[in-house]
Amino acid sequence: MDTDAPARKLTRSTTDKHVWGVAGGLGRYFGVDAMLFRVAFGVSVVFGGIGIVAYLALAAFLASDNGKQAWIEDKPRAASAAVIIGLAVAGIAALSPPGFILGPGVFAIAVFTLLGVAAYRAISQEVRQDPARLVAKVTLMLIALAAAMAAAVAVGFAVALGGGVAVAIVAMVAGLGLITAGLLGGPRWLILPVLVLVVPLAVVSAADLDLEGGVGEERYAPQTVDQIRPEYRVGVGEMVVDLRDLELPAGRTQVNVRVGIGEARVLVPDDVCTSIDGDIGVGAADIPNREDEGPDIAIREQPRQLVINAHLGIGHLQVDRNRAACA
Amino acid sequence: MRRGRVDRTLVVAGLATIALGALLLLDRLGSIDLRFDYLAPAILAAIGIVLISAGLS
Repeated sequence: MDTDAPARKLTRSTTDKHVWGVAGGLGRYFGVDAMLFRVAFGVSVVFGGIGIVAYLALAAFLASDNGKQAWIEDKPRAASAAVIIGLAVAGIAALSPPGFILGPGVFAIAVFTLLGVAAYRAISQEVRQDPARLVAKVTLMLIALAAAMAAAVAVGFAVALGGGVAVAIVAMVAGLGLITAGLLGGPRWLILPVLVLVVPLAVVSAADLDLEGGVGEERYAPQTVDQIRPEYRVGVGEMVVDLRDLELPAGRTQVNVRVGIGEARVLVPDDVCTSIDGDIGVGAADIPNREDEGPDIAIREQPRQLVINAHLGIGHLQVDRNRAACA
Repeated sequence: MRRGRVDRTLVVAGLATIALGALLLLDRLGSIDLRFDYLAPAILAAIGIVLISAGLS
């Protein structure tokens, strides 16, 4: 066989390899210098890393040219499914699509993937046995899932109400517990309760969610600067701050608005030049000439006569202002 | 303790949990400001490491 001719089957190279022989195999298959693929994989790191994901996928799924089977082939089906789903999620994340998937959507995909794999592994051992036991097991798993979700929501509320430091410390102690359990050969389902701790803590932290301030609908309409509160705050609900009748003094005036989950609407006098300095963990901002939605919304404007300092964890910010007032 | 009983997946999951917990603790204490842009890849990386260790063990 002519060794210079492209091989008909794509395999990992055992002779031209620096890591796992993927670039060497690709070069031989396409009849080009393997260095081109190595450069391409390296350059992809700068552009989101999709090439790294592709390299890992090829390394897992390609057999070697010495007849050794692919790494994935002798793995359990559940592990294979987990690897495939993990690579798919990593690939989607590396491609950086716009929108929600890079925020809480990724957490949801990751958590439900893990739950799905765990459920698959648990059920597949029971399928060949008694159907009654299978039904009982599925029922128990659904109850456990509901309990886990309820616990996750409770943890999320605890963090959002100021218990984040304590929960983070408990999570680290739980990590130590996992290590101890691992050294003693403990059960792997212990990972799931830890997820119930860590995931809501992560989501609340990333959204910077703060539910202190009560629940309900609030409306404020200060007439003078003295009536402006240091901070207008609602934990969960809707808040309207009507500043249209406010008599503003010379100089700069700042109004602080903070909503955990919900909506904040600020009404501004037509003749006042207003700027916004705001952060929204997840949600939408609806202000003249600008609409944003998704995670990590940051609004930074040059300070004007009236500065709206808004902070929302999850929700919608609307500021009704007249941009022509700044002209 | 017998060496064969060690579950690498649990150990790796524990280390990942401690690392994430430390990050989140720093965020809660105000030392750093975590956002979804940073936290999502960190969580994904932790899950990926645990999955890889599970696949290798």
